[in-house]
Amino acid sequence: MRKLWAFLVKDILTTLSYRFYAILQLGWFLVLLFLFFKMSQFFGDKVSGVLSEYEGGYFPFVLVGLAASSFVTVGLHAFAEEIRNAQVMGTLEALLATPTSVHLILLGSAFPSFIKSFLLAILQILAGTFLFGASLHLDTAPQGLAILILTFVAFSGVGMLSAGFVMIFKKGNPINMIFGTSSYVLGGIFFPPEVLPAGLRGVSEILPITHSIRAMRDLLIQGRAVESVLPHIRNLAIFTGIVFPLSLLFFAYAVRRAKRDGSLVQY
Amino acid sequence: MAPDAVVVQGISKTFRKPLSLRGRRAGERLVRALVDVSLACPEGRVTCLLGPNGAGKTTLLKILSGLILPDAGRAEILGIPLDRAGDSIKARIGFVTPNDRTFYWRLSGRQNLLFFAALYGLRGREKRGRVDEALSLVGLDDPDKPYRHYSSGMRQKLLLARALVPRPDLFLLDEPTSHLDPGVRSSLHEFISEEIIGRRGATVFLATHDLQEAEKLADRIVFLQEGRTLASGTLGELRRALRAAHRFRLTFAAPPAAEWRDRLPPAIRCEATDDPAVYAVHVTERRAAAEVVRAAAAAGDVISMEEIEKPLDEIFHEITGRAEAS
Repeated sequence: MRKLWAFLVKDILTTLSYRFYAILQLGWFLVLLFLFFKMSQFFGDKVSGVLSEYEGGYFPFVLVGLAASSFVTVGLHAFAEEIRNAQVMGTLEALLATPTSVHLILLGSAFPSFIKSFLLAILQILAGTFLFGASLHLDTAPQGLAILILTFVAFSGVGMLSAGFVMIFKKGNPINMIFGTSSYVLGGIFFPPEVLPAGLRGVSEILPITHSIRAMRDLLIQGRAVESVLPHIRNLAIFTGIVFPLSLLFFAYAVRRAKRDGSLVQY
Repeated sequence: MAPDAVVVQGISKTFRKPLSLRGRRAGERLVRALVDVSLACPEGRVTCLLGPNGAGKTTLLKILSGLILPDAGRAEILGIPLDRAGDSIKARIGFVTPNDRTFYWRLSGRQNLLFFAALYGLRGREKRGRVDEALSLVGLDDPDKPYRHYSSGMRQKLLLARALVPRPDLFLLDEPTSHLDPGVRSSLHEFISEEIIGRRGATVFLATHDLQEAEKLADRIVFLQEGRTLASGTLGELRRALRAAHRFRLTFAAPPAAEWRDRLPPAIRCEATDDPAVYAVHVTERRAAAEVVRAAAAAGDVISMEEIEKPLDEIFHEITGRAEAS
């Protein structure tokens, strides 16, 4: 845990050294929320039929979708991006020369992004509720956050597979391209999967993001009990249980192969 | 005799490099970086791995620090087989790469060291103390300045400071003084001899292509060329191993008759110099020098017969020349 903390402190110091970027990051999510808030007002009744299951409002619907998607983004991209950054910057060699396992280096590199997303998701939910008047059941927020963490772990598995690809092929990442695109388009972040054609709806059903967002919306928008979202949690857990151990094995293989090829720090 | 901190036995490594023809991949080329390399570094001593660029020095150090896997052979670090060492052995190794891009440019030197110290498992006061100690030992001015504003010398010092933080038993130094001006280089040499070896009793395995650096620092030298060990030993052992290992400077009070050299056995090489009263004598065995003195004394008044140590560059060229000829 101390090593993870060290990665976090290092990242905070780095972020603070880019002051303009730090301010921009903080301000941007408010701008984004405002845009979706205005869109929600603009669409108004036009989407209320489709969103009847979600109490009719587009803004709370997309607010929960955005919070979940930030975790998907981190899970999918942070591992591969951080490994590639470390290769390009040249720090990977120094990290690997310390008595720190390569999996911990990978986790530590992505840990600050995870914490940032976690805080951002909380801020988004709070700002959406208190600044823009979204009607959310905040009493179920702790359960919602637990689902977000499970979502992160599920997508971390995919992210580690991506990091393994970066280790071997350096650039070009088919897993992220396929998984990322399908999750953003079909996973129900910006519109309900129910509006999709039947074939695509089938694809949407097998994506973990769909179950994560549904569970979150059931809890936060409809105020349902945890028991009612257990099927979604089960689906997420099955996905995680299969993908996560496989990704650990694949990443270990990728590191070993890169060490054998002498390409560990090449990019 | 001191036990060995590093033992390398029969290490080989071949890399596959892609070949391209007009931007298209056209097969691959095998590059033999190391071929059956064996060597040992005694504890508490400086062993220099000497060789030209591309000799395989960095590959060998990266294998020892766990960044590259060998194709064949085995190595032991501080008595532990490398393939069974795991990550914990790295806490006992200070690895200095020639790459100054291994730090975070937006952080200060101190912040960088504090981060790496945490990865070495240090915490709290001990972590800060070790970082302060390392910074003061290398004499880094202004460690709170962002790393991106450091000069080459400061970056090199910070690389060394990072290796010092865990107080390792073994230092693997890859070209530690490259890109440094003579003043800073000299102070780093002193630091290695006095602090790392003298006070800490640690072992240094240093890769360099700088013959003067090796001559100044090394207790033991390993010559590496095209991935093969050509010779190894102390400077004295290497000199002895070479034919005509002893060289003397013979000085007469006045120039003798040139024929005096005819009395010398053919195995003794005696060359005239620019000064007609001074000769350069090469003998394979030290006792042959007595014969030279006897012959010289018969030819005139001998003022002195001083042994001149064969410089390392001469040994190096002789060894590499032999390897190329064979």
